[in-house]
Amino acid sequence: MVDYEAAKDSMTELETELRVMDGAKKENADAFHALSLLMTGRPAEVGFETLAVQAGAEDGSWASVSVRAKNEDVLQKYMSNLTANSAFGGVAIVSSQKNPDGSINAVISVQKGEAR
Amino acid sequence: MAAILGRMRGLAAVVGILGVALIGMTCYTVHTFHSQQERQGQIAVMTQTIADWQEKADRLNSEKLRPVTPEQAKEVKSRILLAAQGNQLNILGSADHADENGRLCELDVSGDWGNMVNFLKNFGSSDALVGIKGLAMNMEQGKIQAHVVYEIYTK
Repeated sequence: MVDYEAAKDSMTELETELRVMDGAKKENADAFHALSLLMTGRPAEVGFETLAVQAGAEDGSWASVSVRAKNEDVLQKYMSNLTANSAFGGVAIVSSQKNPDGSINAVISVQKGEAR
Repeated sequence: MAAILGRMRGLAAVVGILGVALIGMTCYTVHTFHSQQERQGQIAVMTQTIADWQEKADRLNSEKLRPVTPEQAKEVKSRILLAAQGNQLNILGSADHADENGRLCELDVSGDWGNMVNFLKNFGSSDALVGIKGLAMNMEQGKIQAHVVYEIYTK
């Protein structure tokens, strides 16, 4: 058991450390978690081209990934898988472009959901 | 008559002395009561402070990752760079500067997908509080190039 004087003297230090830790939790982008979740529902015919994960983005997004899907059905399947994952609060195609070979390039943005 | 007056004076003196004594005792009792109240208040404040301290200390001790000293932050950064090399990643660039929370670092690495995933999975795994604030990856022909922004939190 700590004595009163020692507790009083070290209280500020303790509170500072706790404040830093609470702040760190808010700032953490959970980048690997986002990457894992995005990979989990990915059909083999969907390839990642770029991925960006950011904590506290202004538009509220958690991650954005640009993909190249073999065709529209495959992209839709990937979108369905992502939407079904409660770890994501919102899944949206920001842009998409169909290529001459039938493949599709799309940018998908996801928001954090409740099940994290 | 003089005898009666003498007795009354004597009585008045006794009453006066008793009155003064009573007032003195009352004042002493009130003072003692207030002192005791004050002491009890102080004890309550001290007990609460110790309880608060214990609660916060318990919370801190239950955390696996803790802020480090600014000196330790440099070692943590070195460990992260070594981990990148240990995962066969090429370090393309690394920079850092002090900010209000600790050391804000940026790291550019490239390598195979599996190695990159392993590196990110175990990123900063030690007892130091490190958080990835941003990650950008570019994937081309099986090679990954990543830009990682992370904070090593200091106390």
